[in-house]
Amino acid sequence: MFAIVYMACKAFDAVAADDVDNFALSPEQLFNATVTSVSKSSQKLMDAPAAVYVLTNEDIMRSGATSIPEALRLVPGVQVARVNANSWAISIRGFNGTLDDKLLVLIDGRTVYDPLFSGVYWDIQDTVLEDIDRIEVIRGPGAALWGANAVNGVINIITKKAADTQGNLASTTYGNQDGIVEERYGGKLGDNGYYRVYGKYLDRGNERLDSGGNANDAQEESRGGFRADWKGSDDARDDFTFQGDAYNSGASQYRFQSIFSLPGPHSQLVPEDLDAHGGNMLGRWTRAYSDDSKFTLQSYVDYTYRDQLLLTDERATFDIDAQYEFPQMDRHKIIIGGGYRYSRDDLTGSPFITFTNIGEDTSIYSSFIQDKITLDPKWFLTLGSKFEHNPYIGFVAEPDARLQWQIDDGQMAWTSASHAVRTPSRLEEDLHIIQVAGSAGGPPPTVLTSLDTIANPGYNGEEVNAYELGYRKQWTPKVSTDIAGFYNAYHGLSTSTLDVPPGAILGLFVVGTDPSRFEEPFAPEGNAWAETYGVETTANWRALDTLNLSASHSLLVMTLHDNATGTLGALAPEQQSPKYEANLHAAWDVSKDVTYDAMFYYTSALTNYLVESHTRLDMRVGWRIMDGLEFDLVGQDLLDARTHEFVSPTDGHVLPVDINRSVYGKLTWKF
Amino acid sequence: MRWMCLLLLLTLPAWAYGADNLLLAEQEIKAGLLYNFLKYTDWPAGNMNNGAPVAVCIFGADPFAGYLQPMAGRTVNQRPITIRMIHKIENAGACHLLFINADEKDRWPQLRDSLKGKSVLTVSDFSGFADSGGMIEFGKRNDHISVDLNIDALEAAHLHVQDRLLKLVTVVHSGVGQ
Repeated sequence: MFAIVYMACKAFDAVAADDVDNFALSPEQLFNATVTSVSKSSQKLMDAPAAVYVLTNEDIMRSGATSIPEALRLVPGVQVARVNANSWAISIRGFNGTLDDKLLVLIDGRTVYDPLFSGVYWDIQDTVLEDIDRIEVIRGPGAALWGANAVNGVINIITKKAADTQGNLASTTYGNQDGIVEERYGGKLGDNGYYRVYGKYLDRGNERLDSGGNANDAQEESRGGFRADWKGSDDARDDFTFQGDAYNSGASQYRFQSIFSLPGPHSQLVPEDLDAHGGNMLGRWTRAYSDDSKFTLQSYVDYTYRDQLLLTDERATFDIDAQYEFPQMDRHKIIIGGGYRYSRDDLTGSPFITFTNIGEDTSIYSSFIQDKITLDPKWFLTLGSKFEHNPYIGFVAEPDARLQWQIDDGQMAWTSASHAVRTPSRLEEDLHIIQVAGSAGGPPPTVLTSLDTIANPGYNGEEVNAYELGYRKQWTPKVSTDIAGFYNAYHGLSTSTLDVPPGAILGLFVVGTDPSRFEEPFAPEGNAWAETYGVETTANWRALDTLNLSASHSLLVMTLHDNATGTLGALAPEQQSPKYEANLHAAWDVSKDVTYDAMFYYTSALTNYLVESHTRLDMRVGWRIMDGLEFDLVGQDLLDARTHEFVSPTDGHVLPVDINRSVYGKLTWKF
Repeated sequence: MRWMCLLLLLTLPAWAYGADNLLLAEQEIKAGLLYNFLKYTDWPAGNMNNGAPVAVCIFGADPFAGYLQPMAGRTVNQRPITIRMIHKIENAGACHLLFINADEKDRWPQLRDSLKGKSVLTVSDFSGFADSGGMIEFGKRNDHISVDLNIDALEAAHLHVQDRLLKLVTVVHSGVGQ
């Protein structure tokens, strides 16, 4: 008790230090001063008038997470649910699902969402976690600066510079669920550069079915990659980066599959194989003109191939972006940019899914401008807009306005209003789903029919108007808080509507000459709208030099308004995201060689999906055996032997599974 | 809130409240130390003209997050301080104190060679700086800033750091700077 009061008082006592003139301090005082732990990059972002959270390399390593999606559990306002061993549902501010389509996810500037469904295949987004510098998460529409699909937020994964990953790093992880082997080597590239290469193999073990059996959802993945950074010859104005990765993954899961048989049953459970491979290469050139002015040119090519029961998706993408940051001009700080993306896909359907176009070339042109205007030394207004032209909905503008009040050095308030558009995905334009007509609950079909539901190519995508308010304060060098509230109104949400013409029995149309096949136009029609609001709070307290406590809480309320009748599954999104989430992370440096972490996560129930509220405890103990050699022991979800986290309503034919408690040991050797 | 704390503290045993410990940002401490190095370092006569400004330079981008800039316009030993950002190696010789951004580590050997025979106090915070002929290397030990000072490199540049500071730093030797 004394200790707590003492620490709290010390924290308040240190307020005085804010006013300290560091040039008037004696060398003794300076050498005795304690360094506050705010990293350079996070400090910069912490000045941004947006709901920002930075997961540092240390946060990721100390969380014990063995994958990027698992590490995101620590970020406030991000909903992370593991569907099975190889699949995650991740969203920001609602609308969670394995096919969540409102996020922009970038790895070193490369967009990794798949335009087929505008979502992310999280199972193949990976690298050596030790080489990730940080993950910046921006909640809310970041459309102005970031680009398309940033309707609800941006997840920006940034790997370390090659210069910071020199030498060898080898690690092996072994546990009841995870097995990972990885090796990275970094060396010098001539006089002006550095490089690294890595290889990684992972094996995610089977989880369990709700009914108790083996979920048959294991994943094996091999990947390798490189990164080189170098400076231009004589003066250091030019920085170059060239990097790439390649991967090959095999996984499986159970899926309900339709059976076209008159007497029924009309579906059966079948194992499904998911085979994926792909690769990418990216080059970037940055020229610094002065300390606050630079030009960046970046280009990448990306190839992905994914084969599963319902479809095969093969895609090649070329992307080029340029950005120029003007020096401060009087009151204006302007950044402009432009980009072009070309994507070519080749889709192969199945008896259950077909496409209007099986191959398509898509060109997207985009540009943006942003101006940060200094109104007076404490008030800043940032105005920006993104402009995009894409083949589905033509020209769109996504404006954004942010007002920032820098109350003093440790205190900032901001508010924003923005408008963003979600481009329709390829599925929403071209998909046909072929189902057995007369399914469960209805009268038994007298003739065998299949229902071909067709996407609506006239769909215009979704729009959101978002309003935010935030306040950040460094109470003392050891205590800080960050709070953000938002209200979002979404229009034109895609819904699936069976449009039954009056008088028609089921309103089916005969397709071609096959009387057993019918087709039915269906949405996405964009006739639903929704409101969401919420508050996200984080607090950090450096309680002792050796103990850091961080906590966050988020509230999310969604209301869906449905204007149409006969809408299928329209209520789903409301209940897919937990209303409350909270976490607490205690990081304790026990001694010079031993570190300990405990993480609590609370997620409220998804009542209609039979997902109960869940309290999860993860723990990690790290022991530095000698210089360069470290052993970690990690337990995940220690309070429950198994947990059911999610059912994906947007892909409800995948069988729900339970995630097992996981315990693993990891040996890391740096030399 | 603060008075309540004081009240509570009065009820605590005396040992709980130790020496006052400042909490500062890393860059703030380093900026303060740079000022002290200006103050307690003697440059050879002729290198510091009476009343002429003392040039503090940053090689590469400014990593001080705004904590160093307020030093411009102050005086040290009755001389005004100017702060300059430099990107070209040939401009480094005119500085009294040169802070090398750790991102510019690759250019350090070239920079070091160009400063041979000049009385420029070199400071940086990348590891291995002092070992490779740098004079003052900032490090971090248990949440405190530490300094390794390469005495050989200082002597080779005819610079003298006064005992007041010398006794607070770790003195190291290396042949490279000579």
